[in-house]
Amino acid sequence: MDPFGLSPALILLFVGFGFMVGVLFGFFGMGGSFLITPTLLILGYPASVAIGSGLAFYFGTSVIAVLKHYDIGQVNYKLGAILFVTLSIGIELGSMLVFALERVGVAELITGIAYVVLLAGIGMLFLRRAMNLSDETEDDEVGPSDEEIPAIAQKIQSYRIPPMISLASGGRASLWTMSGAGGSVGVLSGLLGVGGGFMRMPAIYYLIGTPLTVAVGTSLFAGLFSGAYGAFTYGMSGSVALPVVTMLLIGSALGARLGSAATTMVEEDEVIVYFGIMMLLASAGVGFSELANWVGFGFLDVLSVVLLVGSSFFVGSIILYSAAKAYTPSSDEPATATKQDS
Amino acid sequence: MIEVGTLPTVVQALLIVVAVFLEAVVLYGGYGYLEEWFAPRISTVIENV
Repeated sequence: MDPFGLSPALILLFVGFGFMVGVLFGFFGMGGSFLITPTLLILGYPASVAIGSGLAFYFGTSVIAVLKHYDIGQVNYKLGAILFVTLSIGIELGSMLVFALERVGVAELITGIAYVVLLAGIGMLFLRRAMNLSDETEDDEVGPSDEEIPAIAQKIQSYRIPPMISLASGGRASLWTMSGAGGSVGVLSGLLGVGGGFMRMPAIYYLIGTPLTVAVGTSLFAGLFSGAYGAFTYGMSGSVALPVVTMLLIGSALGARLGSAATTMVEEDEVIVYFGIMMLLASAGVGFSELANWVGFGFLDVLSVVLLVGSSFFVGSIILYSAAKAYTPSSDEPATATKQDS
Repeated sequence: MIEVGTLPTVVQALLIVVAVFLEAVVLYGGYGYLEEWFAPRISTVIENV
């Protein structure tokens, strides 16, 4: 008899994969749901179940993140409430789109293609960041200034379309800018099953123009509630595989602790290049899975699982190995904490 | 005993949200407790090795 309706092999896979995803995202500070949904798609779960379970997983990791940062930094509650409403509307629209695509039988294909692009895009961004880090000189420890606002973001911030909303953190922003940022991230969340923290936080910081600490806290606040709403929306249609989410959370809650602890021992630029490569391999994995559906080659399915799951195990192992190595005192150099928790 | 499948879909969806929330809280607290208990011992073992 299979406990939780999952075979022992699948339980092991989900707990192990959740653990490695937790290590990665405890270290890099992201939720990791954008690796969960494509993996479930590759394992043959329907698109709506993969997305719904991804959002429920994201909600669980958000709860843990909020518990960890009990006072969640500085939260702009007015902005958080507006974002929650617009994110929820976006998620609802995204989920309606998924169910419509399922009715015409192309949901897996569309979400698969979207994931190939998304994962490749994130991989390229991290590789670029790795190259920028390697170009920096020793005395340039601060790196590229966080205060540098891209020209396009400055242009969007300059629009003063009423109604303008005053923010407690200072400054004013157009309700339309807030709604546009929240709504578009929400549609992507509902469509792809990602929490969207990697888009939401920069959107708040760059487009709405809050201080960085407020952007982080507000993003976490809005993400928690929108994650709950996403899980609820997909839960209404029975599209959340709770046993799968549970196994993933069991692994990721532990992995996130270790990944977070590793940030004090391992320099991010030592492993960031592997993370970028991992995302590109994950993108290729989803691409191979889509190709397997078209040409019917079974080995492509196996290859896609190996690429997606294997690469995250590889990079997670590198982080844990580097942390253990840094922690163990060697004969000629003391173990020291090399990086401040950000 | 109440069969979950017979409940309205809204209630089922709410139960899923509550279940995930409770799982996250229990896991956070449980691993936190284990960390406090095991971490010093593991540190000692690594330092001795």
